Amino acid sequence: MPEKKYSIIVASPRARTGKTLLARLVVEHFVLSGVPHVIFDTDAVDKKLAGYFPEKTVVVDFDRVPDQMKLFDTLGSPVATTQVVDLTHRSFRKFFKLMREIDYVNEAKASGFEPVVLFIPDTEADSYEQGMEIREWLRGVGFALVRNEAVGEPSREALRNLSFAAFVSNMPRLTLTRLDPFFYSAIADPKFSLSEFMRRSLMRESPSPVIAEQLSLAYMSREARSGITAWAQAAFSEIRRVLREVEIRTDLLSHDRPNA
Amino acid sequence: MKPAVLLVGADKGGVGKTTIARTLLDYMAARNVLARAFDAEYPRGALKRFHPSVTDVIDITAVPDQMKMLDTLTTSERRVSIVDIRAGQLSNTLRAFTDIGFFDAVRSGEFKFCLFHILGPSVASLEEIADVMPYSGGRNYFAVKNFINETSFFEWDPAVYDSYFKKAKGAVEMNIPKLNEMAYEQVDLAGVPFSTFIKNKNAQGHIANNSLVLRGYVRTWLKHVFDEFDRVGLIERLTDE
Repeated sequence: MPEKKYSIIVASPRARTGKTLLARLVVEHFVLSGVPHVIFDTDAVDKKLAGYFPEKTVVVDFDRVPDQMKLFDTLGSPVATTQVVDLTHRSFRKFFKLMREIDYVNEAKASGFEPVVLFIPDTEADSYEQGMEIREWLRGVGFALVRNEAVGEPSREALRNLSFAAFVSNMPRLTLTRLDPFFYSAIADPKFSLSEFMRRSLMRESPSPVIAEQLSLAYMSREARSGITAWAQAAFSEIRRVLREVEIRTDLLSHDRPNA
Repeated sequence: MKPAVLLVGADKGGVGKTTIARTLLDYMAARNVLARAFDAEYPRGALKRFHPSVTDVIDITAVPDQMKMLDTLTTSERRVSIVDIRAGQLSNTLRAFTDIGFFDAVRSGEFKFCLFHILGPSVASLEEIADVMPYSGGRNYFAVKNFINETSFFEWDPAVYDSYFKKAKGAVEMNIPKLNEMAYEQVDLAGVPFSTFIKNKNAQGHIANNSLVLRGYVRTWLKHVFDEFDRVGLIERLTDE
């Protein structure tokens, strides 16, 4: 049986919740585990994710039908690989609405893809409600609630919200721990490759000979290096765990429904 | 069920008659009603291109072709006949049908008849309603506004529009929603029924390579069209005794 391919959608109804950071971590996770993949950056204006992986990112403007086709039609191709989609909050509803309308989920599954939505709410109740709505639209899709510590705690209103309760009670959760802002500024550099950094750090390799692209590494303190390593390791293991958990759940679901 | 004739026409070209006829054929198939079609765009039929196996191209002004259509109504196992009338020929066709005595047969309950009048964007198009509607006996008359492409905007003043409709008692209004242009063009290029395009098949029944996105757009749009046919109770109108 061929390796399962993922279609991972990192989504949030709000700006500045850490979508691109998480998408980047997911990509680096696939790099480190040797899974071939392609990246879609749906923010045609800022193209932040494309900045980190220029050679393997397709930038799509979701307002254009040809770009929608670029993204969704990739599935049918025999050379299709795992996809990572960084979904801009501006296209949040539009994207999922189209996904439902074109019956993407069944098509994806028929082509051996497992769609997984990594949903990042902000602190307000409303973002949980929007997430719940999307979840209703996409029955049978792997869904995980992402808790990005850098975003902050849910508001009191959110804590009392029914959608919040539904999310928290029965959905896999992925926690993204907070990285020291000083360290964060080091990895925010588009030239900084997390996977490369991790490889070197795990092999206890010194950063020399210094590659031009990795120049900032050479000047990094031991403390920064171990801080980033620990943070990234935690993130990668969360991603691995959640993907496994999501897969088990969707497998169970599809066994429940014989005609699914 | 009794044999039924569904006329699709307009007194103007380019309002999407053939598109509506195509959706009707798909709809009948989806509801398990056997249908055939007559394409009156003689000598070259657009409908025939999409539904070749059930479509005959006819010249509706020629008596042999009228016989081919009307004389076979009771014998054909396909109980529903959908007729795509050539642009500008709607009034003529209705007059010819009257002369043949077709509407007498409809009144006596021998046949069912529905008239899909595709309205154009001009007020003149509303005036046609009064000319055309009496033929349907006022019952199964559908005034269809076709929004399938953006060019079909409607320039009627709502008050004027209402006044025309007040006079046309019993007329049923229908709206055909917009379909994404690129999707429409792709189906056109493929030259297959909408439902076949959605199933990702080609004319020979083999797997095609249609875009998932465009198939999705067509599927959603066709569902809305079917909902509209359901809303006006089309099948019930054809099957009730």
